[in-house]
Amino acid sequence: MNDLSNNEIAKNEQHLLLEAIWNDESSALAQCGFNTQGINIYRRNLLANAQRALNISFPTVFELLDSDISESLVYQFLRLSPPNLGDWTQWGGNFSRFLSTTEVGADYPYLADCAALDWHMHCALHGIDQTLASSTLQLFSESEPEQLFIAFNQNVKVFKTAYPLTEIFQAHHHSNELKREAAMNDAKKALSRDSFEQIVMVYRPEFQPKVTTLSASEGKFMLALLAGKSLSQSLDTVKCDNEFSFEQWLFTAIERNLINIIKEK
Amino acid sequence: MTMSVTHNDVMVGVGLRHPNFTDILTQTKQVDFVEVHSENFFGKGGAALSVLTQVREMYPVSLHSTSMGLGSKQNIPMHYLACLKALTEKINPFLMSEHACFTWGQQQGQLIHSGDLLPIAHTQQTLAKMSEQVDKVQNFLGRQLIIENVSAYIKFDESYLSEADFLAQLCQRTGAKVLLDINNIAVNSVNFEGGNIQQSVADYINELPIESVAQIHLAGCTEPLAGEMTIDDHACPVSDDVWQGYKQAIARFGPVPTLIEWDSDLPKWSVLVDEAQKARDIAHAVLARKSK
Repeated sequence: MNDLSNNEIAKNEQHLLLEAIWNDESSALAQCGFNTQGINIYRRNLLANAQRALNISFPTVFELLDSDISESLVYQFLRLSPPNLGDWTQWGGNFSRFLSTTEVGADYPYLADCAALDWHMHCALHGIDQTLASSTLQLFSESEPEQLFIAFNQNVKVFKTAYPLTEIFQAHHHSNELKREAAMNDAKKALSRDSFEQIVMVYRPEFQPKVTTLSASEGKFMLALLAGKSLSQSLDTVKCDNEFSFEQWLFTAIERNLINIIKEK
Repeated sequence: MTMSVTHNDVMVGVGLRHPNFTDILTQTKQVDFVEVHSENFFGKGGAALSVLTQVREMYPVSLHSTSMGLGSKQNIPMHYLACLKALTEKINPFLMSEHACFTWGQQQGQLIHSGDLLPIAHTQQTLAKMSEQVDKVQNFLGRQLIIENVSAYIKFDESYLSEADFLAQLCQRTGAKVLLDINNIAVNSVNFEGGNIQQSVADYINELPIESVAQIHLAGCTEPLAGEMTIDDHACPVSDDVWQGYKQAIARFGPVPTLIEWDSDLPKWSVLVDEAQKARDIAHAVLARKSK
């Protein structure tokens, strides 16, 4: 990556221009020798592009924040984690971690997890198109559960959170206004509790990613499978739960396009 | 590494942006091709890429990249080129273009992307490095690149070549072609040359070799406030000055594919189609006069 020596970097005009744009102390602007109006245009463009990119990738977070706070966060994040991939869409993978270190993240502790959910949804939206290799389903009748493993669609993400993320998400994005209001009420109730746990799943049945809450047993089962445990080992994690039915889970999993292939050890 | 444009007639296209996806797929064919920003389709799948694949069945597609930074002193990272190559193989574009600008650099030892099209110094040193990068990318993609002149808000004192001369030499060295953005010449004319747009455009066009131009971009931008620089926001209809320059460009370079670019405050699809039709009418009139 460092294909230029430090000396070459120091004396090259491109580096000086980048310095002038990124180091926005007023003294730097006075010393850089470039046209001030021009540098200010590039600075404004940079911030506007970054703001637009994060607004698209983190729609829930930016709905939750006032515009002056969000602009300041974008500014800080840009400096801490500048883009390096040439595609604004791919920028922001560590925005959630960044939020957890900020003052606003401390005041609103669910914000970082909302960002994680937004990012998973964003990645699923652009993720690889995968469907079930249905011929592999016959392995369920041919092999023992100890020998079977499930490879999930790459757009599936399951994670635990201490906040009502699904409700917060629906409160901002559900197409039905009444459902948005109901989700907001549910979110407020959950946030007022002393302790709360939710297992959230992001999945993509066709092109539009969706988010849902899993029951404790579904979550335990899926997290075991996702951790690479066999079907048998994963079923063991829910054997005490009489409500859990593998057949029902499999039916829903196929309907939701959760599975890519069934594999035999 | 040949281009597939063999029409004697001028091909006129529009920049395809997300809000117009339904229009392009459902309305009767009113443009000859569409152009998309490559980076918007770098994902491995999803709805946008699926739409582009469907559009490709109906229209020739031009891939216009905005982040490659061919003029960067820093090498273009391989991950970027790998994404572009995957998209190129999927879409098989009839044109592939980028800008004569830099985007990659370092801050505190870390690679960064500028997120904008930053101007380059027009010197032999930059030309040598950029030629090397263009060669490398053309070989990697197995495609000819078309390189666009850029609008700018600063100029480097180091520059001693004109941009047109720089691009002409670049094309001669690499076999690449020029994407002539007439609005960018107009923006730079206002920002740096006193604003005699028609003279600036005429000078620029006359400095480029006739065979060097493979595509033309037409766009409009918001009028600046007094004393302010013009910002190339692609938010307005093509200006009269730019239409005037287009007539001269077609007269000199012949029937090169022409694109209407509109990126901010996107109008209805019909407005874009009307702008494309206007370009077609102008090109036909100029070419008809020329052939008499």
